[in-house]
Amino acid sequence: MPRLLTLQDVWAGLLLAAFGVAALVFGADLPMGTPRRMGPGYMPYGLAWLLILCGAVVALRGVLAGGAAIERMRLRPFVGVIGGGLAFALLIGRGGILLASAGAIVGAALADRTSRWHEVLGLAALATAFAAIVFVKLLGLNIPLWPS
Amino acid sequence: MDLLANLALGFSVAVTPTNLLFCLVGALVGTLIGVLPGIGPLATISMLLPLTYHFEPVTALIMLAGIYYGAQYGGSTTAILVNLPGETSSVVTTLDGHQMARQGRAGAALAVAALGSFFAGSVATLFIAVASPPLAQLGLQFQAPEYFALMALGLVGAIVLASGAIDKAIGVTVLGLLLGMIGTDVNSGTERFTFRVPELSDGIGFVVIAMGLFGVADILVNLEKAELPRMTAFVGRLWPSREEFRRAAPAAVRGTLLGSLIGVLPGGSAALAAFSSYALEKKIARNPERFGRGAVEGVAGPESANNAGAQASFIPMLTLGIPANALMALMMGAMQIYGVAPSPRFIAEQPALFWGVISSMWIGNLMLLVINLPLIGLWVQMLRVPYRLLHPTILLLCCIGVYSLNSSAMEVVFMLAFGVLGYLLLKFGCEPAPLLLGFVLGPLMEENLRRALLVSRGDPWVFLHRPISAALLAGAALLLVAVILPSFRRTREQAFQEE
Repeated sequence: MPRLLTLQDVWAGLLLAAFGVAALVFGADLPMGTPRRMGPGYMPYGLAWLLILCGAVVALRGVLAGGAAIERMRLRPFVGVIGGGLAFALLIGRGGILLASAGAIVGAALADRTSRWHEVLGLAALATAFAAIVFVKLLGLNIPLWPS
Repeated sequence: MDLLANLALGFSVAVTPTNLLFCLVGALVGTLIGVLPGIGPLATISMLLPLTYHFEPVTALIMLAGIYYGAQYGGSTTAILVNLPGETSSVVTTLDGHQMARQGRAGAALAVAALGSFFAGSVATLFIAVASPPLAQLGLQFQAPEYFALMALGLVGAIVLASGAIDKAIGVTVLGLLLGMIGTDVNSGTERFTFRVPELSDGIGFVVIAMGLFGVADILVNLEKAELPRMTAFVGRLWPSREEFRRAAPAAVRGTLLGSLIGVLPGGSAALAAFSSYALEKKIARNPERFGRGAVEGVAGPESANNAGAQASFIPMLTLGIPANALMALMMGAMQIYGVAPSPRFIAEQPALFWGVISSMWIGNLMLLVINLPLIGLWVQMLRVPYRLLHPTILLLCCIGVYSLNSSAMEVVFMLAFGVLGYLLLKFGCEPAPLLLGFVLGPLMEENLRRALLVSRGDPWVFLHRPISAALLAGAALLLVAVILPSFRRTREQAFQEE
């Protein structure tokens, strides 16, 4: 990989500037108004350019001065944790809190190399029972227990 | 005397059985997450927020405040015994606290930290009680320009005092402000950046952002680190020797004063108070080479300072409605959900709530002092719980917490997206905390800017014609210029290099 693409500052700058550009693009049709009567687009427009400026400065500093490289990113924690969360989001509506909670626990456990399957099963059983009792029974949240 | 009558009112609220119970719960939960590295008060308070919706506001706030200062107590335990900071605010405690533990003085270090924290907590409680009413009086004179200027100063303060590069801190804050624009514009009713997603029309919930940035992102980052070996030291005799006590007491007093002052500053936080106190102790010590080798002042000062700072940072939030740091932004968001938004009129309109929360802080500190030392064995046991059992539980609590807000699976997905954003920011060397501050202040700043310009008929000089707002903006400008000057930059870098 070229050295520039390993630098923290280059990526930080690009990430920030990307949000600024997105705000300009998607906020293009918001009325600006005048300073005296600020429209809904006034503040976002100013902030978007400020953000692009910040991003550019950060990225440029990275290009010129180098700085710290990004530490290795690993795929497994990422896939497991985000996957577990998505499983929860998908299951909670139809599948009920027990299935959804088990999905989140198992997903998050898969993210960790050191997980042991008997511990995961025990934790899933405990945590789903806890979630069902505390959130559905005690707090009365309107979440079904079982798949409907 | 007003103060006594107010405190009496406060204590009458704080000592009801329910409030005492939740003060204790908050303090214990705070200590627990303070002891555990990898989970901090920001994530915990956002996770527990949904549980508190059914509480009285005063009970909820007493518990949430307890988590914050309880975490300051817990953080020192891990720092001293395991040489890991349980919280960022106890990073400097590892330097001398763990050295003391290695010399068999762990018990003394723990006792000094707890006693110092208790002293600091008591003084800070009194400080809040004395300083808040006049500050609220001042705040009553504030109009839109002053509010805008004050928020600008708050944001600049948070940027200057954040660790890491200044330009990144500015960028992250501006990103927060911009994210605060999402939703329906209150003035025109226009939807901004909502992409016709119904969940976005009221804006993103700040709990969603907080749990994503501090709950999910922390898990992602922690899982990439190799599991650290957790050795626990022998605790030893708890009571400090006379010599240790003689050295520690003045350091605790200095740390308390410094921490209280820093806590009130815009951008001030418990962590910053601890760093500054350590630097101060090292500077004024007769033989500074003792530091890093088990100097008891290096434990007493920072541990007092972080607790004082944690509590004092409530002052600007409760009296002016301006959160000084991300955690106070979270507390302010919680208060808005309970329908008791803080403002200069808050003390006069909700005296029982205000004084009840303040008084509970002293009670909570007393509880922590009494419970903590005998329970140290238990906290040490908690450290043996491996992270592989903790992080799935944290993820689940985040998911259920967000879902319980509006029964919206979409918001769970948003939270995960903010988890990814927070992870990327951390990987790219940006601190995500200022984002939440910007997010909470964004709509308020826009509203005040709009009002100020409407009244002045579009004349931007209105901010400089009014003395208070001019002074606040000048302060903000000075801070920014100072940061760019090389000499100040060096000091700032040094201050953060104590770790």
